[in-house]
Amino acid sequence: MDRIVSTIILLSVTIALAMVLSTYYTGFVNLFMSYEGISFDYAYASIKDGQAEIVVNFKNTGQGKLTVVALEINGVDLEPTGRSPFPLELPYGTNAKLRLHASPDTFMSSVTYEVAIRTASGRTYTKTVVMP
Amino acid sequence: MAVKDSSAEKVATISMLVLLLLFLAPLMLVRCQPDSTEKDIEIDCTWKGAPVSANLKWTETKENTAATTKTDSSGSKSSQSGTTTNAQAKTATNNTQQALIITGVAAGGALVGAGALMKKLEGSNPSGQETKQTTSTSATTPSSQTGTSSTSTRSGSDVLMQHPDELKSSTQSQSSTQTQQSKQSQPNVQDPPKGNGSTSSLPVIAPATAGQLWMQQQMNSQSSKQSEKSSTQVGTTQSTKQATSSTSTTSKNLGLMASSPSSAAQIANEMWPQKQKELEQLAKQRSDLAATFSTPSYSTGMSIVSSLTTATENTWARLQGFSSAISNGIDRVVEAVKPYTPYILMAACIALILITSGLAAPAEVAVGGVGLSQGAGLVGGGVTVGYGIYQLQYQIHNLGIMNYPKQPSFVSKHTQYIQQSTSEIKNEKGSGTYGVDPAKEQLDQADIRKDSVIETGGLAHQRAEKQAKEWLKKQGEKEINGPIWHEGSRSYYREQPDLTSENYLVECKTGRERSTDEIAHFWDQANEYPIIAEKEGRKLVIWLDEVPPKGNEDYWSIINWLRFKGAKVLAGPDGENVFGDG
Repeated sequence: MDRIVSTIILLSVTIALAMVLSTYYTGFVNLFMSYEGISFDYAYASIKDGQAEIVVNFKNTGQGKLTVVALEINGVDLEPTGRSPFPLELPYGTNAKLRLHASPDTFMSSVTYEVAIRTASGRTYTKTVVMP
Repeated sequence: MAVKDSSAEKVATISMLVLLLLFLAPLMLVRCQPDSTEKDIEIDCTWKGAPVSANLKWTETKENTAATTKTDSSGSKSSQSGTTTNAQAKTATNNTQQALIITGVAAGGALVGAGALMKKLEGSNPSGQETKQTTSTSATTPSSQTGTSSTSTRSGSDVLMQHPDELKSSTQSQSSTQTQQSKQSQPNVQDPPKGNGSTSSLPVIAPATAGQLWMQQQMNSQSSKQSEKSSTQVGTTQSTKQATSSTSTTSKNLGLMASSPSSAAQIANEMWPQKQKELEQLAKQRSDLAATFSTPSYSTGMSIVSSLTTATENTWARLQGFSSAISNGIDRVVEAVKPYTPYILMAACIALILITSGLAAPAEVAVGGVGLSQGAGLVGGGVTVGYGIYQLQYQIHNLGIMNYPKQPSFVSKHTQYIQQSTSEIKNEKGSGTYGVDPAKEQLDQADIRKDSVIETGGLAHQRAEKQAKEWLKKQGEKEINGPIWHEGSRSYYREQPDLTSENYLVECKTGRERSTDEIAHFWDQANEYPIIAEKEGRKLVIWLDEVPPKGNEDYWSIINWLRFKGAKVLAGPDGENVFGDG
């Protein structure tokens, strides 16, 4: 009976230590081996009430925070007029929705627009929509 | 109160601990996950000179809010709804600090309480029994002083002397008196004499401690000669209620009082009132000191005061009884609660975890990447596991994972003894594991080795061979050979009968084969040799040096089998056929 009890205790301690150590070393792996990723769920363009709209829904599928440093359309940056909100950090697993509003003269009909999200790692993730 | 099996109790405790660690803590962590907040950022920007309004919306948890969002204080058009301001971040930090403080205090308090309880339950109150003894003695024997009360009073002094710092503050005379008292084996003296050995109404313990010492000192200075005879008289006159044996012993020890009892009594009458006041003050100081220590010491101090203070005797007696009742009550509660200690401490741990996690749940920031609630849960789990290890350290100790030898339990010792006994019955004497006295084991092994040589081919076997040879000669056999090869022998041991003559095959045995190997060997021969004998046309004879004991059933089974197969089984020295023909 004593042995059983001791075994239970040791198993408990072992499990607890295993959990702590696995978290600790997994943290190391994530620190040095983490990757960045974005998956686009959907994107569309529409014109409502005299306003052209491009909607891009994406998700941070990487192992860490996604740091957005800039937005581009057809290779041209969107330049903030006031204080820049960038960089923006999106936590792991975050679902985000980007909406771009402009006049129909800016986002013209039947034109293909490539929306790009540039991150701090230097990568650019693009999604293409066609303005109706 | 039902007596529970300790092992089952520990199993239940450990099961609860495992449940707590593996299930409850994660559930608390889940419960303590911070709420998520929705972020919505409006960015006014230009694209190729044209105004474009960008809106980015996502959902994130609160703990990331302060670290990831920025405050817009420039008054520009860009704004973030739901952004944590500096004041809010500061508030969150304060909450974190408060939660940490509360958690630490709660954990510390629980640990201290648990430690104190464990210490109490482990019997850290050795003076409790002495206190009871003092109380009962002083309460029940107001005028019949025996050695018991003296002992109990000294134990009370010892309790006081366990605290030297406090005793330093007392007077020099007090400490010297107490030291002398503790060093000398003081017999018990009755109340200070009033007249010629008349009994007093004063309590009995006080003179036995300080008053007695003072009287002894006074009388020692007065008396130069001692007489055992007169001392016995003094002892008799001083206490009419004192037992004869006690009186004699007291008188012998107090031979100082022997020479002039009347003068001693006179001196005592003159000086006792003054000394009584001093002793009262001394007793009060002692009781005050004792009251600062513990309940048993307090009650002991009160018992001293009660014995010294005549005027307030009744009051002190009541207080003394009250303190004694408290002490006894505490002991009873401890005894009643003791079997449930693991459950109580486990409940305390659970309460600690719930309280700390509940307090930490509103925390909005992370500490070192780990939520404060998670930290509280981990601390609680650690405390729980640590307590479990503390409770079962003996079992872990016995598991052999620590750096000291495994301690055999009573059961294992007993089992080992049974195994050893069984082994000695089955095998040769001394073949079991001794494990206690290596020297004795070596001697026994050497002795058995010597006997085994004799029994397995030595003198006994040679004697049997010699007897068999003589018997063969008597049968008219002329050519008697030793072990020779016989065609068709399939013996596992590849052995042959010991003697082979023209008409006989003789296998010699000592008759004392008992071990499993020996019996198996004999069975192998018993199966093989009848075949060889039949094949060669010889008569098989089994020659025994002595008749095997009746209890050796295996041996007798072989003998019966051989007789069934037609062998002749003879026993030495003359070849008596005690078994009958086959």
